[in-house]
Amino acid sequence: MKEKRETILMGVFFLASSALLFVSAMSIPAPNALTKGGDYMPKVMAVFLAVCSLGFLVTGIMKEPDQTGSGKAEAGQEMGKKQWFLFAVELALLFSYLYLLKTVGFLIMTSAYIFVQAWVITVKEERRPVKMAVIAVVSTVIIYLTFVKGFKLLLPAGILG
Amino acid sequence: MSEILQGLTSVVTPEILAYMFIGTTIGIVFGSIPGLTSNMAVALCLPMTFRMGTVTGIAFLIALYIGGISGGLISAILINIPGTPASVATTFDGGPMAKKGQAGKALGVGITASFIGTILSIAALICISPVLARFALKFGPYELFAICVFSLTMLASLVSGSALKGITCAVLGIVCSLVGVAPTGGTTIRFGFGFRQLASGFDILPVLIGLFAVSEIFAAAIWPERATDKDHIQSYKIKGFGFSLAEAAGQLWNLIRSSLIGIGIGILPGIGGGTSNIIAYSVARQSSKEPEKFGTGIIDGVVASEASNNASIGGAMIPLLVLGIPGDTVTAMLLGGLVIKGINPGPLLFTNQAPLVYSIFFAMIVSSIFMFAIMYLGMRFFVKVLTIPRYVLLPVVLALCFVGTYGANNRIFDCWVALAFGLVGFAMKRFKFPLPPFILGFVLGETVELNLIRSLQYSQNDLIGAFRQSPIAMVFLLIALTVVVFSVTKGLRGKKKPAV
Repeated sequence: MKEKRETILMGVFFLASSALLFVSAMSIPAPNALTKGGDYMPKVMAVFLAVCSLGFLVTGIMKEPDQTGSGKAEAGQEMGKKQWFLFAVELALLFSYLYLLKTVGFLIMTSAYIFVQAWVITVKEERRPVKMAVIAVVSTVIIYLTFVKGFKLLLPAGILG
Repeated sequence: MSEILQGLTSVVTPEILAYMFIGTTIGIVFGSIPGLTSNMAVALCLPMTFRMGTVTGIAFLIALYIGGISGGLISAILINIPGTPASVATTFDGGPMAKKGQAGKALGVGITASFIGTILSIAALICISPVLARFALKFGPYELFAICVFSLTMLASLVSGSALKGITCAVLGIVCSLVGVAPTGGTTIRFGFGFRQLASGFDILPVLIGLFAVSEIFAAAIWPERATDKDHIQSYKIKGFGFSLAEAAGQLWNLIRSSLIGIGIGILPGIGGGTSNIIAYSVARQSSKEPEKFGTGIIDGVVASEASNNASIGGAMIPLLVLGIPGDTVTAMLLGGLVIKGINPGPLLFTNQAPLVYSIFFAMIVSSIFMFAIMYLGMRFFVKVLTIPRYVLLPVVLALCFVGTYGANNRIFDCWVALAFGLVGFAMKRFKFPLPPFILGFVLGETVELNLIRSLQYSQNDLIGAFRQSPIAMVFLLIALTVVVFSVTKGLRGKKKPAV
């Protein structure tokens, strides 16, 4: 039942996306009636996407409720409440890293990011804070020296600059 | 002759050789660690090539590609988990061989088969591509449009489990390529959402980093057990090459046949080592006098898988160099790398920049030799790398990815784009939408649009009439249509079967 609903929802999502794409393409100025301009390809793709979405809708409607198939997540990869929470934590972590990178600077933010990231993706029993902190600082310094000194890239200096 | 020499001398310099050595080693490391792929290695190292010379950058990326595909056999044999999809079939016999105490032999056979497979495919590339390029010079917008459509539909229909999902991904990839100023002229920024950074569309680098690296970190955060799992590594000992001359002689036909399969599949757009290793393994089993021994730990299976996946490298380079159409995901990134260097692959490359083409050929040969030597001599190092937990590797790799993405244009905006595509990639993996058609659609989107609009202009908007005048275009479009109809019908038939 879950997979049937998922397939139908995908169809609805792609249908809405194709409609949005087509409407947005209408606002792109076309050269004239005879020549195709920048609006043509988005309109063509909107039509193709609509056809695909109909495919999802039809297969979703035709699907038996208990049928298993390609859309089902693998065992051990289901998204429960805990997984959605961890997803939000990861998103917040990456968002904070990128948001503060320029202000705080590469060295501090990347060390902090690697430490927290390693913490997040490690099961409780395997967490070793000192080891993780050392790895975070050492790898950040190596990355910094490689890119700044080796490849002459400019990385955000932040509060240390 | 002078062009060949020019090509050779431009590759054989201490600087380029050093970069190729490093590139091959990084590629093998990425290929050998399950969860890190050759795609990720090339995406990660792409920004490093921005500051390199043209030949240096391309040679470095080629070395990563060859190392990445070859490295997969290490984990496939020693921990029975394929490092890359191209080494799935290696686990069938490589794993059992290691369990029987023949890990050294399996590694020796795999490395040698990988080397010979790559060299044979380079020979095919050198022989086929100039001839094909002369023929492709006659191609106009009709033919180019048809070949792009053919490539996209082949990949979308055959690679993924569901043709509908594959085609949707290809369409979505093209849609993402539409962002920015249209290639057909005009100054309006399409779908820019007020960001002036999107005037020239999404850069390929943040898109790739997002789809391959950022999406992986989301998966690791949600299912931390996957990043903490410890793999049991089998012990090994390689004596000489790991196998006898008699054993090598007995595998000669298997080696050649598997390499030919790899080259053939590599040439087909979008289908590379990930498919060829399985097909070559099946063919080897079917044509064997003792098919029942396959899967129990015999060298035939390792030879078939490793020769074919590496042979796909040369095969995939043929459409890239001759037509500018990537043969697989990594060659799609190589295309990005070439374009960044101001090189537009296609038939004209062979006439206008012949020394560069020869440099690419020589870089591939040198990388293969490096791969062979590094894997034999550095096996101890790669086995050590395999023991590093993924929860240490993944955050460092992701930090490196963001540095590379930021460094390409010195702007955080690209990192945000990578994060956005990371979410897209995670959603696609979660709902089993294949990434390769999306990437190929994104890479080919501009070519498709440009040639479609030109075809319409040349034919005064009578596209069907125009394709009737071009038999080549017609053949490619008919094949594409047949493949789509066949795949969709097959999918529907499969769905009608009652669940057991």
